[in-house]
Amino acid sequence: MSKMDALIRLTRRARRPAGPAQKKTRTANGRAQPTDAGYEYATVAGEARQHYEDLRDWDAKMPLMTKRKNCRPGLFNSYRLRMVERFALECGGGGLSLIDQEKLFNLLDVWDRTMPGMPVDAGHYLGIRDAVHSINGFKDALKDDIDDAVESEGWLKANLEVDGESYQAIFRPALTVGLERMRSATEIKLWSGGDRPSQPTNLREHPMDADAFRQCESEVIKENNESSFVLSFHAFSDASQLSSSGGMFWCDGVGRRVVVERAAP
Amino acid sequence: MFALKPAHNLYPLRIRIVNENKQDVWFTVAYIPIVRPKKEPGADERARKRRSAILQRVLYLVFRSTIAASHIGVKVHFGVRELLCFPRLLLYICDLPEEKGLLCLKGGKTARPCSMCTVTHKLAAAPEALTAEDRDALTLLRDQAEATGLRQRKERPSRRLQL
Repeated sequence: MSKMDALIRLTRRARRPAGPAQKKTRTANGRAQPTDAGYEYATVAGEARQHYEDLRDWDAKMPLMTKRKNCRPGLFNSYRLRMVERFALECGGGGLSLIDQEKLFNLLDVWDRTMPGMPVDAGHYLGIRDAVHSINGFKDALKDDIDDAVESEGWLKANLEVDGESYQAIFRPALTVGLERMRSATEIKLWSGGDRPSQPTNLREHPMDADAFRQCESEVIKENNESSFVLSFHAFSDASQLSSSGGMFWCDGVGRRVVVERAAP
Repeated sequence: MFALKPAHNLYPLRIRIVNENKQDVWFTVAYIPIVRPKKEPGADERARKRRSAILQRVLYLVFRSTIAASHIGVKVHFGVRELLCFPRLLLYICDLPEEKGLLCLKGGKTARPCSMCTVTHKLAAAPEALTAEDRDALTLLRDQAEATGLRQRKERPSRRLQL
């Protein structure tokens, strides 16, 4: 670089000013005009180079990363560990987030049977090949568990046609959810007064203190008997809180869907 | 020329069981499709009507069995006791556009904008608004059911206009 600088310095000539500065400009600036008109270069390439050198961007350079204190690279020094490293850095396109890296470490810790306090069961010394024999088997096993969970939770779907347009809604009956929750809940209150209904109150310490609940409760018991109770729901929906699959459509100017691709996380 | 659009957007409907002592546990019971305006005449208005219809129909699907059980009850075994459970939806929290969609109220320019009372638009911020008559939910629902029936049968346009 110094040789190049020397070469440029040798081949350039100081440019003469075109003429004295105009009186009007001098008056406006309140001082003498600079007489340095720069240099004439032997080649256009030299002039362009000097332009970028004058910007002094090179002087502002710094290393992209600074190593942390006590940096110890190269710990992934075996085939197995390199595969773990590659997975962590390539998974999902951009690698795992810091939280996911923690999850991966915990998984590997369990997989190596080294996590303190982990339970020991019949599959403690079995490997992945003992459960699934191939990659497709692995994918099928994951899909089967997801499908089983969705089905056991009672999720349904329905195509709703409105004004010539069809929309798919995903839902599950609230009653099923409520009753299932009642079965699994550790602490549930059937009546506002504990083991019996109570009178309306001005207290507002629990949703069961509400007038609407207590009126419903007294009506239900009056119409039936003491062994009936009200299972009350509160519902909440917020159209601004979206659930997105992450997939994106590239749409052309007339609204046709051209390409479907999944955005990188 | 090209635009990037979300492929699949839904918004969740969640419920909480009040009888459960554990606070703030919400369960998702539905994913409601987002309805976007299409390229058609009166797109915004039609999208609004579709949005309202979708919300009402999804809510009906979710609470269909709850509605039946709230009238006749459902038997549940609690320990050794057999009890009769009457599920009731006592609160629905949502934004104003959803509220209007659910109550079949006009979304934009309307003479009576409040969903709780019948105050007119001119008096909405005036002291007179405090004494405005409350909306009667049963009467309103009866009128809306009548209007819907007349519209589907394409009968009595003057009555529909009045409703």
